[in-house]
Amino acid sequence: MRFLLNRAANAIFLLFGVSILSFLLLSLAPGDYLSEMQMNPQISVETMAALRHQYGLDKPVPVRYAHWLAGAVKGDLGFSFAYNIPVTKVLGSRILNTLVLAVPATILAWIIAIVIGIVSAAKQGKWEDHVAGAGTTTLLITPDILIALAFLWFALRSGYLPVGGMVSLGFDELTTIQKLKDIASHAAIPVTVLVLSIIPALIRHVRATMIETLQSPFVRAAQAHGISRSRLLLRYVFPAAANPLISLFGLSIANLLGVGLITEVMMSWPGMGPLLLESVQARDLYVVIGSILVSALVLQAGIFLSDLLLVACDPRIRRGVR
Amino acid sequence: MLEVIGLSKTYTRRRSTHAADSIKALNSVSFSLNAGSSIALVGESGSGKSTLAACLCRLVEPDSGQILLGRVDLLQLAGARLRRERKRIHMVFQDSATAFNPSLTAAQVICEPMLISRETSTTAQAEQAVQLVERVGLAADSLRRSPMEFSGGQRQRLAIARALAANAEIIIFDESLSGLDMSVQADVAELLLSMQTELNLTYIFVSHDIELAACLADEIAVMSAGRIVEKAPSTQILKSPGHAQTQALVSAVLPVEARA
Repeated sequence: MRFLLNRAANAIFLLFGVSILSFLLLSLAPGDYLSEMQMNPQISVETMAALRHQYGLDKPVPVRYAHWLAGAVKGDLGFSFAYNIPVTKVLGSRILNTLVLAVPATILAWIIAIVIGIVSAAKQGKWEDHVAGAGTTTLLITPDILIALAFLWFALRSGYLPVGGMVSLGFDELTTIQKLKDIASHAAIPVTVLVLSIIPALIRHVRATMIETLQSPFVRAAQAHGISRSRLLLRYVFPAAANPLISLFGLSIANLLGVGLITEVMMSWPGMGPLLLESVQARDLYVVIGSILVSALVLQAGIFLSDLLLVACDPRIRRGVR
Repeated sequence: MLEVIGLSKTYTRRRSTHAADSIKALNSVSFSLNAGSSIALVGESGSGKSTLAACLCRLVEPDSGQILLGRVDLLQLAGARLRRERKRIHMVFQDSATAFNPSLTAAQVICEPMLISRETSTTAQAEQAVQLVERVGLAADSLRRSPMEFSGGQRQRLAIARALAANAEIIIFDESLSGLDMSVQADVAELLLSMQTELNLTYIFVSHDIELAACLADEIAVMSAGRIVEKAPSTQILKSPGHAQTQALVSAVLPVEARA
């Protein structure tokens, strides 16, 4: 319980810090949402002043922040200048869309990385390990954009999968199962790109921690007790090697959000990525801050999940052994 | 009971695609050991004693030779048969802190061989764990603790209890006593000797300390450059070392008056 309260306090402190920094940096940057409008000679100075007053842009930064914070505490993240609706409404559907990509990509990437990492460590120096090593190196040196472009080209040429977007035309007329199939077919390429972007580092981590654990005397002792190879790897070595990997799990979500931003923009996926880009370009201040806060919150959730997994998986932590 | 014939092992380290370094860790090593007796493999670092111990447990695969355990050649076995037979030889490692699965409790550590073999019920395992932990001089209520909460000497006692749980006929102690305080070392040594008499166990000690080895083992085999260069009863080795390597090891032992 104390652990949970500590984590919650940390998360609140972090979100508070992130909100101040984002607010300050975005407010200090030259120009705002109305700057482009100001160039239009047909709009009078009085109208501009009225608009500034309406959006609260005429007030000093600390006052605006205090006003925003008072609302944020109650769950109101401000008003989007561009969409003319509350930021929470703008973010709501976009977060969901991003999660449609991020959740399967995270699960798939970890499953693939664990399988390949274990095989690679168990077959260290053999052809399986060399193939995995060459594959991860190739993926590491290939820019994510290039991977996305290659898949887009493949989708375009083959016609097997839709190119861009999240749903097909006439989506509303489809049955629930057809709708799910439609979203899945649209998500296939972005999810694949995300998986390929994050698995090389994950595979290398799994392999390295597995090899390190395989050399431990307790593993040799278990071998001497006559344990089978598969049981040794899955019941002994992997659980013992899991701690650093579980810690990495939370951070991999942050990495995925970063890669996801580019992928979503390239694939025209209506998630947080394109929204953040549009909002930054339009200086839609509260949407940008909201997006950043959501990313920080997802990162915190990932770290929190890692901590819970650590407690669940490692009896030493439960027993409080150092 | 145990007969090792012409055991050889060469480690090869690849320097590049065309060049490799070869180190002959074991060079046609042969010795035999009767049930209930003990031998100490003594030598300086790199003499091959730990490789020999690892080969006996098949943790390292020898290039050639035979390891006859009774009538069975361990090196000819594979799969389930090997897994069954290799349990007859048990190794107690030097670093007790890393010799146990860190996620297990002391009770699970002791029951590990039984857990792996899945031969006994969990109730029987728990009962046996209590008997064994008390047999090695530890309190039964310590079974719930993590091995990391034990001292070095207590962990070695746990390792001994685990060897007993495995019903091992031969126990190899790979420098297992070398990291302990003198008094703890003496306590553990006493426990080992009493158990040997009681259970007719066969011991192989791997040590660089010829004096300690002489206290523990009936015979000493001195190793150098992957070979056994001298093998004789412990008292004889200390009194009249024949080979130059044995003489060097014996002369490295401080006389009692010099320690004061």
